[in-house]
Amino acid sequence: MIDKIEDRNNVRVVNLSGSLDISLQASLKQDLLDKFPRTKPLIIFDLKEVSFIDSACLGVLVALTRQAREKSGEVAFIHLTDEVQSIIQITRLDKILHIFDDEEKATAFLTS
Amino acid sequence: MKIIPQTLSIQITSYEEIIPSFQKMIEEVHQFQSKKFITGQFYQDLLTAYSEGVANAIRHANQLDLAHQVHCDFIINSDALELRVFDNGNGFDIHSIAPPDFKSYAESGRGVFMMRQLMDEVDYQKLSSGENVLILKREFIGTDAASRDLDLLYEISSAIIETTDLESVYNIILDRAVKAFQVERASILMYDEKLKRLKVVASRGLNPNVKESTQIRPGEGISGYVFQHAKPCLIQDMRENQSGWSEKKNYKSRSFISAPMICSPMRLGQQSVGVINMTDRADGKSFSKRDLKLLTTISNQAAAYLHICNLVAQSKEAEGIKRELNIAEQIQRSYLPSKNPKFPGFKIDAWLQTAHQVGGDFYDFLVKDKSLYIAMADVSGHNIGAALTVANFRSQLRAFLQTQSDPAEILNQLNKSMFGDLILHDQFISMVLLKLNQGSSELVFANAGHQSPILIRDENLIEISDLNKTGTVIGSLENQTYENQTYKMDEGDTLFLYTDGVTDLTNPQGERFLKNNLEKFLLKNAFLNPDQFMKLFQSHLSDYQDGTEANDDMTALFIRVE
Repeated sequence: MIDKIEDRNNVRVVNLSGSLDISLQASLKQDLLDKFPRTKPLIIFDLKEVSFIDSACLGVLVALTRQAREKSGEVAFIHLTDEVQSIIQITRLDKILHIFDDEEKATAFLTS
Repeated sequence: MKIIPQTLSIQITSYEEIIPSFQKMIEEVHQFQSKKFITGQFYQDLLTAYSEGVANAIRHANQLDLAHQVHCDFIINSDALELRVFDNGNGFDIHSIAPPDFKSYAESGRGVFMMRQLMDEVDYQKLSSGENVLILKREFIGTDAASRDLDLLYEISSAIIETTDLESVYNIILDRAVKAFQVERASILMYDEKLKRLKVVASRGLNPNVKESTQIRPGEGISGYVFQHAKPCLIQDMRENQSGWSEKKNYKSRSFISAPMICSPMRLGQQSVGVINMTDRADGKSFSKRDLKLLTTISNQAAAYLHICNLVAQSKEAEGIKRELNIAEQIQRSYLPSKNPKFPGFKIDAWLQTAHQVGGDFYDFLVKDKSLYIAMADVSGHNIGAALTVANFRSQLRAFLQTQSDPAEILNQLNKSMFGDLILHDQFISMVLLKLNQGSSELVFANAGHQSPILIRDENLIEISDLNKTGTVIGSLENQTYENQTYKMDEGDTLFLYTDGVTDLTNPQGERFLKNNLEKFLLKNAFLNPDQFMKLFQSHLSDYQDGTEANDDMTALFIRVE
């Protein structure tokens, strides 16, 4: 689920993996909240290894994005697989979430 | 101006008529009382109580009457709606009905218990004519204060239902109540069977020593009095006594409670299981009757839920939990249309299968002013919380459909009204709302982040929803404005709607069904009649699944233009 978490260039990069479905919703949220910076969180979710995400887990990512913004932080998503890209597009959450091709562009956006 | 009570009557002969008869009556009630729209939770509560009452009358009370006909009156007063359900059975003493044993949901008593939770007044009497009458009364919600109360209750119920951990339930109740009543001190006391004393199980603003050491006998002090007599109590001043409590009744000066206060028993039927106290308002004002009433409702709600929590804690066995879910599934099923709509020019069939018993998928039909509205929605998550959201969503959708005829505008209103609840639970709703007009082949629809409906025309599949005109899922952007889209359909066209549970279905090899398999199936079988198509579709998916447990609800809707 959470592969690794590293801080680079003042940004926390979280690598997620696997099939993220309803059965993981609660633990995903708790684990991510535990790792959530308390002030001005700047986070990149690298979804390269995520083969599938359902609306329940997507709800967790949207909630965390909302929380980050409330604390004057921001969240970016990179390396979306076709599957993940498709659900984000159908739900039109692409209008709300910031999506980038790679970490460099995401970091530039978050730290600008 | 005083409004003269109006009475509307209806006869019901079968279970199938219960929900339609209720809808019909509410529509008529609205014609008399245009200002008092029965919507939202109020509508839902009335419907549940009405269904229980009428079903009970059909099931038990009319056994001798071959026609099984139940008569029901809706009486509209200026401040309340009263439902009267008449039956010819032997009758029973409603006051002797004990709270149900939650381990066995089939047992009788549950209906009465539920009605009591939902209505302001529940009574059952024998009339001189020999008939029995069940009286259900609920006050209209007119003021802002009342709707705030309702919001608080809904918030608490949806928060506690997410957990089965007692500690969290206590905390949810206290935190919400402290905020709503603006008090500095609050406590929940539960009765300990072994000690035969009330003990503080959760508190706010209380010295920890007091919390630990306080043990109260039934009858002792205010909490003890309220517990023993199972009656709520409002105290403006310690020396004053209301609701029969007096200083003589063993009140001890070392009590941890000061005035003004409200105290309410947590009741299961006539029996108390504990009490909730609210003390010391931050603004120094005294409590009102309304406050006491709200606390009583919260207490009853809490008691019922704590009882279930206790049972779950006692026996974590899967069997018990499964039953609980089955109840939720039944509730969810009851929200779905019992049959397909008859609408000139179109033939329609729908299918829904829930995963894990309780689901977040939903569809509905409504015919109004020669238009047929078709809604399909997917609420994220499929636990009891999602089922509750579906319940709330459904009643709001129905309410907006009554006053609005523009699909995009209805989505705007739904988004606004559901937003707070949804973000509280990290949920959102994808939804399409279609409007078909009699005598016209033009389809109008609005889409909130849902899979595009697929149109099958000859050998072509067309995804008719334009991504640019599709809004985000409901509950993601508070100020989202949705847009209508139109599509001109031809005779012989088929329109297919689905939720992602269909395309996400996995086979034993872990491969998903995906859109390409769906498209293949549609191209091959879309010429079939709606019901034939649906049967084949179900068995096709079931073959694909081949015994693997489905992770998500699946819903499909098939519309043929004739």
